[in-house]
Amino acid sequence: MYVRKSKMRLKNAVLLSFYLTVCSVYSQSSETGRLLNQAEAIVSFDPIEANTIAEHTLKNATNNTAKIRSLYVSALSAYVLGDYDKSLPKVFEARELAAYSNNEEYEQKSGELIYRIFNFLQLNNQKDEVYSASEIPIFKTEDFIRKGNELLEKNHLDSARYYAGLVENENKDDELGYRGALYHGLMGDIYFAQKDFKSSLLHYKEAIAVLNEIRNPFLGKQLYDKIAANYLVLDSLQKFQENSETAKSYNILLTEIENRASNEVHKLKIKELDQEYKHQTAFYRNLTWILFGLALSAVLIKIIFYIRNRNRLKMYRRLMNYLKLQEEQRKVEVQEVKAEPKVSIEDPAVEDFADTKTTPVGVNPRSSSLLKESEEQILNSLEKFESSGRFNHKDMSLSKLAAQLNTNTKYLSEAINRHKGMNFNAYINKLRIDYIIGKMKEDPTYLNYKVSYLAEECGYSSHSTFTTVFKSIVGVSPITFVEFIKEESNQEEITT
Amino acid sequence: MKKYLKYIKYVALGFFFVAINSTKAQSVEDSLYNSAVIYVYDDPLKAIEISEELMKMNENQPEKQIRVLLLITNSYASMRNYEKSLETALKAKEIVKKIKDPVQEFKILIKIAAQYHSLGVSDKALQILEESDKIFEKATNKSEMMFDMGSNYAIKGFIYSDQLSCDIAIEYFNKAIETYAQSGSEEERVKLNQSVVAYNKGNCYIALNDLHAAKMSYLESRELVKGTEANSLEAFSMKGLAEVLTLEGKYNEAITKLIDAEKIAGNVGDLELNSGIYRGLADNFLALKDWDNFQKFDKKYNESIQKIKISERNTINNILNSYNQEINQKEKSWKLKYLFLISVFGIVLLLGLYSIIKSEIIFRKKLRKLKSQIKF
Repeated sequence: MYVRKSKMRLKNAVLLSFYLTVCSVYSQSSETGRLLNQAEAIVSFDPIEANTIAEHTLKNATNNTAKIRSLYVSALSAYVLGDYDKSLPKVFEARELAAYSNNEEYEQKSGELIYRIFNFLQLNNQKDEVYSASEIPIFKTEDFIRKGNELLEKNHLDSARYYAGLVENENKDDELGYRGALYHGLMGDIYFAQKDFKSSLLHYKEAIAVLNEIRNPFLGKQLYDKIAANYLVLDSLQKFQENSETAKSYNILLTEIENRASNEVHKLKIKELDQEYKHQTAFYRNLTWILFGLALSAVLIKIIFYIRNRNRLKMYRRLMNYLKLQEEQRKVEVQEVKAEPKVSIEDPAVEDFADTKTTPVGVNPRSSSLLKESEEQILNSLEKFESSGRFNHKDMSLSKLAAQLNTNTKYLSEAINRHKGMNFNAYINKLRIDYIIGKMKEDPTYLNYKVSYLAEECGYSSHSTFTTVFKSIVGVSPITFVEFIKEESNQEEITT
Repeated sequence: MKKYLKYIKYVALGFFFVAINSTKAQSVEDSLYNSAVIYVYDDPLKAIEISEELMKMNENQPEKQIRVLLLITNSYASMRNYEKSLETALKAKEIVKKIKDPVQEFKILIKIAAQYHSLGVSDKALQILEESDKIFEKATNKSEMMFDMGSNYAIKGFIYSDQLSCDIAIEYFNKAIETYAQSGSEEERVKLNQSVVAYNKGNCYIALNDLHAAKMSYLESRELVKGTEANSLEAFSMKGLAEVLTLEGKYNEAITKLIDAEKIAGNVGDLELNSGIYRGLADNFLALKDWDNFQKFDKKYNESIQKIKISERNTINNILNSYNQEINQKEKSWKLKYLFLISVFGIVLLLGLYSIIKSEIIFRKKLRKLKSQIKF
């Protein structure tokens, strides 16, 4: 049997205020958890206090779990009080948050509470979840009571009593609260069916005592109607009328709550559906954007690769041309040395240099103003000059070279133009670049030098000029060239 | 009991509504309006859609606009969108100010007050009724306003009886009945409204435990509609009489009355009325200790309560279902659109990747060939 333990309640209140202070000082999550456990334990007999705790923990919640639990306990308290309109927004929020943070336990618990409220209001739940065999004590009691009532309707009094007994066992240590009221309601119904109206009234009155703490109008309406029926059968018309009127006043309240709750359901469901829709479309929209981005980058990469590959192939072709040319030139020189060293060189490079930035002049068909002898003299001197390495001097110029070769600038320029197929600057540049490439071939340490050093080595004061000239003659920049040679030698090492 | 009270108020409001309908001859506008009225409870969104069209058609006719706005208010209320409903009612009130005719303004204010009251916003309703009182005081042609003044008193009575202040409510109900009588309006209309008010007065007397006065009120209510087609009103007043008989301990007489009421109500098929009759029958059989009949009618009563609940939630269930379907439809078309785009971009991506890899392989081959030709 239920006994009201007011001393224990006082103790609870003291403990609670202590916990609340502790919590506000340290606001530790373990304290929050303990408070919420406490709130869940008292929700059946003191839902107002439970709600106060839940609201407090909600305010101080530092993580989602605490928030979800606080919302859920608050919603459950409102449910016990019959305030379905206040319970719904909280439990919807709890479920949403639980779903968001993958808290399956509370998603399920919130879903069950929503399901019960919807069922009570005769509203369709689109999700069609069915919750049987609840773990929540309040719902467990409700289920036993419902079964008891069903059996009572079929006049199976003993079976109904069996379920009442189950509820009593379940609630043994509990104070008289919502669950107690339900129990006494069923017991009242059973005695009423047995026509033991005095006992029936006693049980109903026991249940009514709960209404002082838990003003649940749904409970109130039911109980006062039943009490009125008892008085009617006991021929106490005055009390019948009084209790009927009380039941009516509860009915006004519950109609308002039902309407407000339906209004809430409308709002919350529409919001939920909208959100689900947004969520769904957001998934597809994001996927579309991601794929669009990937497809676009694939196209861009394709374009970049195409340009890069084409340029690299072009570069290698130019390099190959240069190297071939050099090879041929060397062969010609070797032959010349062997056969007749004084024969003028028909420059084969003219065509191939067409795409470099040098301005080839070509073999001049005009009759030369130079005498054959002096021309040969100049060519001989030039050959010496070519092998001397003096072209690497920084201040090398046409006039200087002319002075060195004991000729004038006009003759020298004409001789170079005619026999080398290029102007003086291009001639010097070619000598310098050929020289530095020769060095790189002979001495691998050159490959490790900086471009600026290489530039200085062959008489260029700035490495950018060197790079430009190198590229125009060889077809690739000095850095690429060095890398290419390094790669080649590596491969050779691997193959050998 | 309060539930029947609520029902009967809507009956009254329904009469107000019909009254505006029948004043004008049928035109395109009127038929549109009437079709919107039909949709108010079955498809409120459709009703609002039609109403908005009507609003555009009647831009410079504030009286007609108000009529339509009240319809929109009703539609939103049936959708349970109370915020929108009240917002629309407020809009109607703004437009009322444009009307220079105090009689019209007065009538419309009464309608808005009735709307507020049915939405459960009693304080607003009272506020508007007070405004209408001021207009009535100043008016020179009071006789034209009498009928609506009767409704003014009736609504005040409803509000006070809701708040369990039956003493005040009864005063207003009496004033309402008197004022309706002075209105000189169509006799049947006057009688129907008087009957509704008298029935509610009877309920109030029961709450105050004045059985004799209650009986007189119910009898008055019944007399007023006897011989008319308002069957449900007659059944309601008979149910009220039976209640008095029960409280007097005359259970058998009460049962006879209730069975008569059930016969009349049977044609109407009104759930609230039926549930009240079953409840009365169950109570009286219980008092007579006739268990079989008690259980029979108690069961019927519980079933009817359940039916009422289901029917009350019908609108909201329908709205949610259709909204759900609408969203599903929208989702499907969106999905198709996105799936198309996704497959297009997917194909482009795959083709792009394939061509990148292929040309890279070709490029490497070419490069290798070139490099092998180069001798250093």
